[in-house]
Amino acid sequence: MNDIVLETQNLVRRFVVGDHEVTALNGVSLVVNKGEFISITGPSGSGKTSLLNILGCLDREDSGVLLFEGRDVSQMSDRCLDDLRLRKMGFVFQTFNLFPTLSALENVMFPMGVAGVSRNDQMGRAEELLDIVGLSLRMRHRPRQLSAGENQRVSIARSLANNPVLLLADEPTGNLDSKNTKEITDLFKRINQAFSTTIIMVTHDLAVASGASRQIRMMDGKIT
Amino acid sequence: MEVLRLAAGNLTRRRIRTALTVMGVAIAIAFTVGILSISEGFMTSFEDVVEKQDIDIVVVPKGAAAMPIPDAASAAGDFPDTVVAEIAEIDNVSAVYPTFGHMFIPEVEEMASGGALGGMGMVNGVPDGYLDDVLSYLELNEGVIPQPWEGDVLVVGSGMAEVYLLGIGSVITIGTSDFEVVGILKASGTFDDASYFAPLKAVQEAYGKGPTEEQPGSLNYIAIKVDDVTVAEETALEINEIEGFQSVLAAQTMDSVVDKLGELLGMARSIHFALGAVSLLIGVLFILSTMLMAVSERVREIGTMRAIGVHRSFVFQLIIIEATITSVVAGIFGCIGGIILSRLITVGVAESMGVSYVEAVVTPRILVLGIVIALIMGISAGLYPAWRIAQSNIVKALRYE
Repeated sequence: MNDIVLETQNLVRRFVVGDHEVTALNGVSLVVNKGEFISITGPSGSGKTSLLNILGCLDREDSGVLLFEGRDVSQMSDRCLDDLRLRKMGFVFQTFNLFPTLSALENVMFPMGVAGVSRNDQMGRAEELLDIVGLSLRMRHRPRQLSAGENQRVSIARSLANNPVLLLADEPTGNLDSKNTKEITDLFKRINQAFSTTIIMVTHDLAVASGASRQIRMMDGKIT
Repeated sequence: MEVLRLAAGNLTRRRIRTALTVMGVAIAIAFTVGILSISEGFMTSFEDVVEKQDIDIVVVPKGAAAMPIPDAASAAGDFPDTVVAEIAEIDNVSAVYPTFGHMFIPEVEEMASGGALGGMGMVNGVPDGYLDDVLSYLELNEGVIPQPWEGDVLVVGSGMAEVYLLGIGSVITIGTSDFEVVGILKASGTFDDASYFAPLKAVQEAYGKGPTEEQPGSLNYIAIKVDDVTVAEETALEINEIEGFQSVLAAQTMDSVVDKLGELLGMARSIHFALGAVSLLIGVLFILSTMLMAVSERVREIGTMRAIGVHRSFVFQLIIIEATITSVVAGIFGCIGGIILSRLITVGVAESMGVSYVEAVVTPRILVLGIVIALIMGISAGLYPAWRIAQSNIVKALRYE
């Protein structure tokens, strides 16, 4: 069995900002093994989020190769990438990005609904996940009725809905106080250990990054 | 199901905006349904009149619209009554009913209701037998149609009697003569409700149009019956070719009148529809701007969906479904508003003009049209915002503030 979840070879991504071309990723090569918990740190503009976006198939590289479970992602259609993200990946954002009209339970059920899971199974799995993140008593609450820490827990539960191979988190503790930061970091560790979910987390916070099993530092679009 | 649940949630989340959008579109639909129902009412009323009258050819002044009612022809002038004898000599003609009509607003001290337009009616000088033979559908409510049909006597349509509080024995001045009301008709739901009928000669004289030694009397409408309807067209041609009258009158068969009427009403309907279309266009722009605003507020939310793995088509559907729900609800409210509006128009016209023939008719076809138009409005207005948001770049959408 192949234990490599992700592999990149010489990834390059450039952006045009005004009259200038900025190289956000300048030849990034990386291998991510199944079950790893990787943190990516680096100063602003070092290319952390650009790399995460490409690893998460939200953006496409200008050159280089990205293999997900051995398959060349660069050759996939947009629809295939949508399906790959839906079934194999989970996303956690700094600003939680929950759907405001849906309850915590419905937010977690949403990706399963899109994936075609039956309503009963969606509900069972969503309740289980919300229980894991410690929100079994707040399932019917809407995002605006929950605290920042609770919203991020719902967001983490939603990212796990379709039992992903890879969980990508972009500054997941950026909007949290120190207590919630610690709790969320611990939650990621627990998820990594309990489900063997591969986690790649971008963070500014070195204390948070130190909780990962492997720490990657980026500078000027390269892994240092 | 997910898309429906989300769409419903999004609409109820922004209740005030949704309500305002629904209201805006509903007003446009109500206006359209109201206008179409008036058009439909006119059509029904005209068809009713045509169907009820038992005449084959009408003669009106040259250039007048050939309507099967003397009233409509009167504005275009008149022609000499000497033509009647010539028409009567034509082989196929079995009966000739010469009439003279004049617009008329009585000067009275007291009236039941009526504003600026209130109480406008037509006095029709008609020959003996006209009421029985041509307008046989009219019934007397009270009084009599005197025999012989002569002198300054007046049979009054129900609407006019109501507005001017006329009863048997009332006297009103028409032109230079005083007429005594001898009969009042029952409401017929036709233009006749706003009419007065008097002997032809009496009306001609009241307006100085009676026959004298120097000049013949004036007419502005002749109703004709023929023996053989299949050659009515040829008979009408013969009338049009009567020496000395070609430049002052025009004869047309009832069939061609009906056709022309249909064309006129079709044109009126098109104008009404064009007016409605303007309100609909405003409605479309209203939904479009609301939808654009709504999607621009949800760029990050849509970006999140796309990041999770939702395909563009789902996002597109979501926006279109929201627009569809909004427009169907608006369509239903608009139809209800249209029914109320059409009733208000009918009652308003009846109240202010004292006539019941302008009745707005809301048919199921108009209501279905109202909903379908609302639906088309909603979907067409939702297409661009839906396409735009569905095409947005995921990374940019996630960063959108």
